[in-house]
Amino acid sequence: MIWPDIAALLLTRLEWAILSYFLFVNGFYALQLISAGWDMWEYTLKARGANRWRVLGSRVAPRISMIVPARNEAATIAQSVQALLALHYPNLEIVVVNDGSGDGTLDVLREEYDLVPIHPIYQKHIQSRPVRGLYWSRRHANLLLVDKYVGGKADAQNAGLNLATGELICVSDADTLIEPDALQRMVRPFLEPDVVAVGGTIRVANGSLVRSGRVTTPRAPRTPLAGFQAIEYLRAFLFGRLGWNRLGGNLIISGAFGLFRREAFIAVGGYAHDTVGEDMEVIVRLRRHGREHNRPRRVAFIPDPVAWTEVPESLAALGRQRDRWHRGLAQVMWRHRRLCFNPRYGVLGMVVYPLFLLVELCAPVVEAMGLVGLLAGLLLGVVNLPFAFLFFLVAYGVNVVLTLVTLVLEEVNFHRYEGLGDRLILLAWAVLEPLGYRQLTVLWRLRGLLNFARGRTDWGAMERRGFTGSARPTSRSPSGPSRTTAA
Amino acid sequence: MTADALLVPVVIIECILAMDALMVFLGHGLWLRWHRSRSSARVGQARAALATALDDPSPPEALLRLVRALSPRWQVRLLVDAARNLSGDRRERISMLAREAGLVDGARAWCHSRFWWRRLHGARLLTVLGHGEPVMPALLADPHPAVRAQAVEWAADHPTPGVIDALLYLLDDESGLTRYTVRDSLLRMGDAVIEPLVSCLSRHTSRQVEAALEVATGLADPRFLAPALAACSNRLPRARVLGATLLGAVGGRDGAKALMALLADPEPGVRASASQALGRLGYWPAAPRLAPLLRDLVWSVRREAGLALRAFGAPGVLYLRRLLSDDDPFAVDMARQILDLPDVVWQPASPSP
Repeated sequence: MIWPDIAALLLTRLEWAILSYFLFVNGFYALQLISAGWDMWEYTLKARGANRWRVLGSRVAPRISMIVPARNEAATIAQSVQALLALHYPNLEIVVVNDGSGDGTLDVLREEYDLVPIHPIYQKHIQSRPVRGLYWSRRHANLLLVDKYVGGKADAQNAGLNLATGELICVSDADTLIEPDALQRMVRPFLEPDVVAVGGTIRVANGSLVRSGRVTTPRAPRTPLAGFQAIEYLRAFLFGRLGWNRLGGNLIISGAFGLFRREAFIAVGGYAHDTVGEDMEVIVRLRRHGREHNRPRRVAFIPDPVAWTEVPESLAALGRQRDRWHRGLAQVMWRHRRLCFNPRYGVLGMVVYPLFLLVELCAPVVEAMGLVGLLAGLLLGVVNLPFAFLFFLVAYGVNVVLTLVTLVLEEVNFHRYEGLGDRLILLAWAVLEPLGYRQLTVLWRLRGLLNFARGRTDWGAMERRGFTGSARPTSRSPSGPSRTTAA
Repeated sequence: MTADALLVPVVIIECILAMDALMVFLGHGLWLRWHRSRSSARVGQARAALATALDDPSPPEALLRLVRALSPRWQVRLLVDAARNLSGDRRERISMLAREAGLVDGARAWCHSRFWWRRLHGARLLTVLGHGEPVMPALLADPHPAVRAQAVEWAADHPTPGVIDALLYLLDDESGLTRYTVRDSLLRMGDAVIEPLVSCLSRHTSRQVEAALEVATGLADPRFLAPALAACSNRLPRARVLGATLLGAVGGRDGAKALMALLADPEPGVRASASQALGRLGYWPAAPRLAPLLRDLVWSVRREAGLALRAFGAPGVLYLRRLLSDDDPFAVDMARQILDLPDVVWQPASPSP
């Protein structure tokens, strides 16, 4: 056998392996879609006509502490805090953590909210960088400011956690736009004692009309990059995470907006400092700890749109973000490798972990191998052109069908995009997204894997345009909705 | 069959699915827009007529005609929106209108459906529109938790002895949603539940007592003194914690004595709760018993004892100053922190029970 024959044989085998992977992954997606549809149906029936406002007058509503880390947010922090104070929830505490800002964030808050120093006696459950001062607002009795030395987002959240007094902890970014009644919707799953964390749908705010920290008119993004991400977010939340809900496999609650049971969060030691995927890592730890100690461990997801975030609009920033997300995923999978096919952890070890490994972590490798193998096969004449074209059509078709069904779920249940123009724009992004953009994300995720192998742990910088349209650089994490389940 | 021949039907199926999804996506939006535009004029007219008719005591025949001309969905929306924001006579009129329009009968029929979502929808309508008797009390024992919780929500406005007994029975329901709604409804009922709750607390010794004690703490009535004293000797630590909290809410000399006895409880949560309750009552004769608790091994007990001493004023501060020269470094540290507290004190709320 000569070398070209060996290469041809290898390529044929590779193509079969990739075809099997393709069938397996898409079969799993179909299952996830059915699960998501079922969950959405049940959720909508339960929510139809419910009097959510009743919780506002309830004396037994669980206390929520919202922890908001802020670093160099002087330009927007006052408005962000104002929007949080206006959230419709009766028993809410806002804990803003100034993570060593050097731009006067602390001064802005002191002036705006009439902050005075306080000396509460509290227990440091979780280690964090030293706290320089604690302030309490004379204007809003439920506003507390923690001023600490710089230590990163996870460290700031841990510092806030020590001071928080709520039964439930809400983590959010200073620039996440939260729906006014989001907490009322998010709190419902916690009425069951086995739930430790709840996430909701995060949407892309780029292009929408924003007033006073609220998305007043949701609109489809007009720029391709934001538009593709809007489609990705819808797919990731409405079909990815909702699909996992019934299958018991939710491993991610977005760092941009999530609700946790404080007791469980403290029991696992809060956020880890040494990973860039801390939002996923803490969920895996919560579930693992629950299993190991026979404690509550259910992670729930509600499909309601609860918050809006700004996504990167430059290729460089988006590339860095995806690199970091995939690096974070790899770090978490590696750190918790003992879960893999470990019957002690039940569904988490036997199903969820292996699927995340295969479907999420390895996807870019397999996709890249498929693309390279296809090109090589065509060059060597191992794969014939009509087959390659048909296979491409099938793969493209699966992607588009999954996205369109997700859009249907959104339209029928939430109908957030009112205008016909917006729906047509979304459709355009849905059809174009698999052509080029998806391949780019494969490259970025591969780079993330490579950087993980090199041991890189930095967050990278991101440029945000801001909801008012002016560009402002920031060095902190974008803390968007984390990884997305790409179809 | 070749691979090519297999792929062609797959592509065709995908095309069909994509076209279907596309039609639903665009069609639904267009239908919704058409439906809204078609109904908006009539709904606006009915809404305006409703606003006028609410203060008019004459039979609202014209309004009834307008309401009946709307689709059932819009009828529900119109009347439910109005009923949620009204009370008293106006709400009664909405309720009467809903009955005349046939919505109440429809909702009652749904409450007997074998599908839980129909029962839930019916229960929700009857909660807002009224006329829930005799259907709703039966739903308090519904097999679906969401329906049960809705019936409990309805019960908050109907504090009859039978309904209250049913709610007390549901205090330890298997569903968290139902338990939450029961506690909320009992608190909303207020005075009407006190006697039944006192009797419930004297009858039961299980998890139901814990939930009942939480409700009693929210109501804070002196009639709960006897059950609170009984709870303080309950074998369950959680019940003793709640008993101490309740005593802190209802007060009384007997209560303060029982709280002082709980300062020696083996459970740290009970000691902390008793300290907090004594601080809340400002019962300064307890200061000599609280001071040694600043040497307790558990931080939360030391903190609550220290804060209670501070709440007593001069007698408590005297004990705190003495503790500054104590042999136990933890007691010294806590006393120092308490004495260092400035006038503006931010007190974190105790975690919800």
